[in-house]
Amino acid sequence: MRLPRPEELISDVNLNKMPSRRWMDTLPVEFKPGFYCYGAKGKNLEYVGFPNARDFHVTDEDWKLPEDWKKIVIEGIKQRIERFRTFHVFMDICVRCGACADKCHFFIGTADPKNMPVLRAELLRSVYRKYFTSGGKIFGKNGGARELDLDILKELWYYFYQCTECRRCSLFCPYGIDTAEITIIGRELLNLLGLNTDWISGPVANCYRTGNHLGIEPHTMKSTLEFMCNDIEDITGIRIEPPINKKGAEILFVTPSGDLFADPGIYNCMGYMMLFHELGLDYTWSTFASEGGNFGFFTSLEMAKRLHSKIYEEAKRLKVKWILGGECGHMWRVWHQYHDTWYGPIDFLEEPVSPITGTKFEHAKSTKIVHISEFTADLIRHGVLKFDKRRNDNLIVTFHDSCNVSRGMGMFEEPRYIIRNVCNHFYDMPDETIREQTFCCGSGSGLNAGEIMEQRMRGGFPRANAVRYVHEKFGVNMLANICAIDRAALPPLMQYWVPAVRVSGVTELVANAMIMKGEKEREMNLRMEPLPGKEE
Amino acid sequence: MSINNLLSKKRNNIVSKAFDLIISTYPEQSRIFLKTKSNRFSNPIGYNTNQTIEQIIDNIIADEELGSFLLPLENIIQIRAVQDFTPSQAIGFIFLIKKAIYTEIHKEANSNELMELMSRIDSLALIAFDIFMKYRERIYDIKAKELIDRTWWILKKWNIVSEIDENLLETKQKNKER
Repeated sequence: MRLPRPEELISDVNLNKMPSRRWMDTLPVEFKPGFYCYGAKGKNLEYVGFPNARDFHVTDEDWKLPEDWKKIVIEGIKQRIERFRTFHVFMDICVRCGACADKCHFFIGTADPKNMPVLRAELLRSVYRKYFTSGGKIFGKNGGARELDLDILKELWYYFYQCTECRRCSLFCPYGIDTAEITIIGRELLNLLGLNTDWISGPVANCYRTGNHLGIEPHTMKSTLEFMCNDIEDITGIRIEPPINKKGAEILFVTPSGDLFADPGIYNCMGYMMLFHELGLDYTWSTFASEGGNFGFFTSLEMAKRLHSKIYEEAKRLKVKWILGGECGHMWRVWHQYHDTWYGPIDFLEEPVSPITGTKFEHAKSTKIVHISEFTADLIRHGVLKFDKRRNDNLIVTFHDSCNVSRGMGMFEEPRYIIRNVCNHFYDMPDETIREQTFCCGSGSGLNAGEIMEQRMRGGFPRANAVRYVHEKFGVNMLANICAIDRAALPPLMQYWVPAVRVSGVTELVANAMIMKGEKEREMNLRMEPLPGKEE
Repeated sequence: MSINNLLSKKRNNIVSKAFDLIISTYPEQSRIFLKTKSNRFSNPIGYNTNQTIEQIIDNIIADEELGSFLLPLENIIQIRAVQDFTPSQAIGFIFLIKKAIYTEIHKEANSNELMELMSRIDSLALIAFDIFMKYRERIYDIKAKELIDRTWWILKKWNIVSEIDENLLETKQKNKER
């Protein structure tokens, strides 16, 4: 046996025009480290009453499925077809034109054809055809239909947890098929068999127990906010006492728990408190509604609703007039696109009006919740806040549109308006990578787990590639965003692809530039780094 | 004709052949997309791969020093180090560039000069391995750092861990100086 040539060893140099194997014939999927999230723990599934609760290890041959698992999935598809008209239509109308194929960041970054949105959806569509269409029943594989088996189930699991539900593909679909909704339903079906991931099911159970994904209990949340206030006092000389669970406050403030714990979210959280203090806002934190995000949204709509209800109930209990929401991604998708279906319109809150400027937030008439960027942009527009932009002069900033806030609720201008008012140096990334065409961070919808770092790096590559461009062209060194998942996911992404670029929330930038009444001369920013011109 | 002139003459053919070969390391169904190399934002793999090949070939033609090969190599290896490749597949593209060069010029080139060039290109494969390891190690660093970023602040605040206070160090230093 001769040794192979290098090209024989590493590549398939047979440059056929047509693929030699059909996509259906490429099973089973191989679970390699860095490509899949760890399976859910039984205790977390059991805590919230999810089916088939047991420890589940992805690489085990036996996934410990119930005996009638196939029936459960097919029945699950049937129920969802009857329940969700969109899902039924999306299963039928795709003509495989391929407009979405090259729009997914996971496909662009991995070149795995099954990450083309059309093909990822086809994985489920082929099963649907087999059991629910005459063509599929008669023609089988030749009609694009597949009989469900264990290999296919594993394939569905593998690829539905390689989609961040960012909806970039849906933007390009001429039929308006929302492939993210197919992923959402796909994950619901998997969830019927207890096939969840540790990174999602853990936070869901925590959130159900303590009100937030991290499992922060009320006393810890209170102390954490106080720790932040100590730092604020060191930096500004101003002592802030954060109002917690204050009944009768005008506004309930809800933000993702990532802002309470992790770097750099904590600086954003300090920023919220500084802003509210400066305004003298009558607001309150809640130790029960202590999470804006909703990982339940990545399991089933019922679980999303169940976790979401705490905010709704807490607003009722505290008798607030309206709700102000922090910088978060999927929290806003849930509020904007699902809340009204579940509960709306809310009848016990008032239409939000800024107590400072008198602006009526008419778009929030139904949901009664205003985004912090809308609120802040309005304050700036009315000249309420004073800024010393020079404090941010060491920063050359670009802005990453978070998928759920940009594509999910259509907010593009407010955060840019704020940044331009608090920073002297701002440059947007190229048009095809921002606003409604923004590239995902690669870690959304519960894919922010440490064990899939490689997957996150390649999924986030299109985003990082655009950041690298503005870094090289304009010297950008700060990537601002308004999403807690971004604040957790983008720092590692930058460390890998563009190490000179750091990550911050928009409110952190606001708080650094904001001149507060009675503050001492500031020497440091919220990260306790010397301000420009104050270096020793 | 010297081998450099020959390379110059065949430059575009070599680049195009090497590009096709390297793209063939990706799954069949994705190659058509990856070959649309003109847009650096919508197809960063194709764009960066093509750029790298062009720079490497141009550097070879211009007899550039090893240092000038590092940046283009990093651009492509950084991508391949996190994709679905074994280490040999991730860096083996060097041999595909080598194959493209050999195929294009072996008939016209002086065999001694050709042997010499082929041997020099081998050194790029060695450097490629160093770069590959650099990025793999960066991944491990990031995994460790992510855990620290998510927990360190709170561990400090709750006095579960304590760091050396820089202010205290400065005071000590000043006291010593006195």
